Amino acid sequence: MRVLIVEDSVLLRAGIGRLLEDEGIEVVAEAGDADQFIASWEVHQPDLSIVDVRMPPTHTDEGIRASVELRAKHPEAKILVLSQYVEERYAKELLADGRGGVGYLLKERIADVSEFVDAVTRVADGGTALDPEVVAQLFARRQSPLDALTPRESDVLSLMAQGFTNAAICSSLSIGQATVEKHTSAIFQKLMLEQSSTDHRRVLAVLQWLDK
Amino acid sequence: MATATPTTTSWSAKPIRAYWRHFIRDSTYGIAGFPLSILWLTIFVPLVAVSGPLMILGVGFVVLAFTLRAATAAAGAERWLLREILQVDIADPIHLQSHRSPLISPIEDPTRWRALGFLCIRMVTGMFHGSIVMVVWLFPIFQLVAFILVITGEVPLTDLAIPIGIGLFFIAFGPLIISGLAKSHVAIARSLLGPGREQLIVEADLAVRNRDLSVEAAEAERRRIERDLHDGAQARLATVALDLGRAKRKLEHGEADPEVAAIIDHAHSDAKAAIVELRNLARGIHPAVLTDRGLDAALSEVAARCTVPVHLDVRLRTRPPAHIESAAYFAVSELVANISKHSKARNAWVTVRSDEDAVYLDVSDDGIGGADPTIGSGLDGLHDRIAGLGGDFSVRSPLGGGTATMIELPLNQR
Repeated sequence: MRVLIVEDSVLLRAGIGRLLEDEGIEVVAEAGDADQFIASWEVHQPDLSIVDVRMPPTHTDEGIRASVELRAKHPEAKILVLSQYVEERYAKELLADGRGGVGYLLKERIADVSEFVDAVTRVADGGTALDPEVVAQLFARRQSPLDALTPRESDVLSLMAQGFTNAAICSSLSIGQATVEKHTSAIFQKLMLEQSSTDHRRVLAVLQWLDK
Repeated sequence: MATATPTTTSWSAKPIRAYWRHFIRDSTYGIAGFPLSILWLTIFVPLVAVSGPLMILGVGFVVLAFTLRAATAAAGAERWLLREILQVDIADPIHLQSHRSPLISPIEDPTRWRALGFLCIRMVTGMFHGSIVMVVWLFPIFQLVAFILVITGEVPLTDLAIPIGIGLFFIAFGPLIISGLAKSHVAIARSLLGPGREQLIVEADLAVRNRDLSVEAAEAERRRIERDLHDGAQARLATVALDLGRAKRKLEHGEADPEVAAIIDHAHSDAKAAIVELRNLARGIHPAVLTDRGLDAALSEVAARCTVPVHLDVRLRTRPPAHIESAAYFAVSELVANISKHSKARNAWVTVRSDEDAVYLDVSDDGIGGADPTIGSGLDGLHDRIAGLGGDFSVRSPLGGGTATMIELPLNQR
C-alpha cells in the first residue's frame, strides 16, 4: 500500500511514517498544507492519504475542505482524516458523496496501533472508519431517542456506524456471527432501513437515519 | 464622580472637641463664602444682564460664552474652597468633547450652565450663610454687654428680655444652624458642580467598552494558549504514545521479556491517558471547535460526552460574538456536567435559540431536581458570570421534578 501523509507537524508526520513503515506500508510523500496535498496527490496517486484537519494558514478545517475538493476532482481518492477533535459535520461533509473510502478519526487514535492500522486498511479498501465519538454525537443529535433499540442493539448500531464489518463486530463484542446478524436485521427493521449489501452503504444508511 | 465621603458636618454623638472643630470649620466656610458671594454677584449679575439685550446684536453670544467660561473657573474656585475647608471632594466635571467653535461649545455644555446656576444660588445663600455666622459669633459679645448692663442696673432686665432670649437661642442653636447651612451648601454643590448625568452615561459606556475589550483580550489569549498546547505538548505527547504503541506491537510479535512488555504497556496507557487529559485541559481553556465551527458543533461534543443522553437542538440566527459564544459554551458545559454528576436523570435537553437581542439557553433534565443556586453548587458562580455579561439566569428545580435552567445572554449590552 502507498500512502501520502498530510500533516503540518513535522514530529507527527515522522511518527506516523515510522508506524506505517513498521507495518510494511510505503509512505510515498509527505505534505504540510492543503495545496501541497492536492499537488502531491496528483503526482503520486497514492492508495490512501492520511490528512490532518488543522493546517496552515488558518489552522481550522483546511484538511476537510481540501479532502472534499480532492474527492470531487478525483472520486477514487481514499482519505483518512485525523483531527484533534471530532465534529459530526466534518464526517457528514466527507461522507456526503456516498462513495466510501473515507475515514475520520481522533488524532490520538494513532497511539492504538492495531486499531489505527485496521482503520487505514479498511479505508484504503474502500470502507469507512468513523470515530466512536462522532457516532456518539450523532446519537445525541437524534430528536427521538433510540428507545426502540435494546442496549445490545445500540452497541451494534454504534459499531456499524463506525464502519465495522459483521466479523469485526463479532470480535469486538465477543458474540457469534449469527447473533450479530440477528441484531443487525432487528436494527434495520426497527429503524425501517433497507438492508444493504456493502459495508459502506450500510454505514451511509445508518448515518443518514441518525441525521434525519 | 462625587465621592461618598460622609458629610463632615455630622456632629451629633461626637465628643465636644469634634463638635467644636466642626463648628469652627463650618463657620470658616461661611465667612470665606461671604466675600466670594459678593464677588460672584458683582461679576455675573452684570454679565448675564448685559448678554441678554446684546443677543440682538450677536455680541451677546460672545459675552455669554465668556460668562460661562468664567462661571466654570469660579466653580473650580468653589470646589477648591469645599475641599480645603470642608474636606468635601467633588470631582472636576469633564467637559464634553466638542468640535464646534470656542464660541458655541461653552453654550452647548450643560456642565458650564450648571456652574452658572450654582453661582446664582451661591450669591444669595453665601451671603446669608456668612451673615448668620457673624451673628452667631457676635451675639455672645452683645450678650455679655447686656449682662453687665443688667447686673449694674443701668437697664432693667425687662427691657432686654427679648434680645437676651434671642441671644440664648443663637448660642444654643447657632452651631446647628451653621452646620445645617454648610450641609445644604455641600448638597447643592454636589448636584451642580460634580459630573452630570450625561457624563455618567459617557463613563458607563466607557466602562462597558473596556469590559468588552478585556473580555475579548482574555478570549484571544485563551485561543493562543490552546494553539500553543496543540502545536507543542499535544503533538509531542501523541508522538510518544505512538512510538510506545509501536514498541508494544513489536513486543507482541517477538519474544520479549514480559517485564519489559508490562512497562511498555503501562507507559503506553499513561501516555494515552495524558493525551486525553491534555485534550480536556485544552478544551477547558478554549474549545478549538468553537472558534472553527461555532456553538452547535462545540455543544454536540459536550452532549456526546454526557453520561445522560442529551437531546441537542441549536438554532441561531447568526453567529454570536466570540465572548458570547464562549460564555454560552461554558455555561452549557457546566450545566451538562452537573446533570451527569447530580441529576440521576434519564434524559436531558439542551436548546439554544437567538434573536437580534440575545442568545437563549435552555438546559433541562428529568432527574431528581433540588438544585439550589444559592449554595456552592457551582451554579452561583455561573450566575455571577452570566450577570457579568449583563445576562439573566434562572433555575427551577423542584424536588423530584427535574431541573430547568434558563439563561439569556444579551447581544447588545447596555
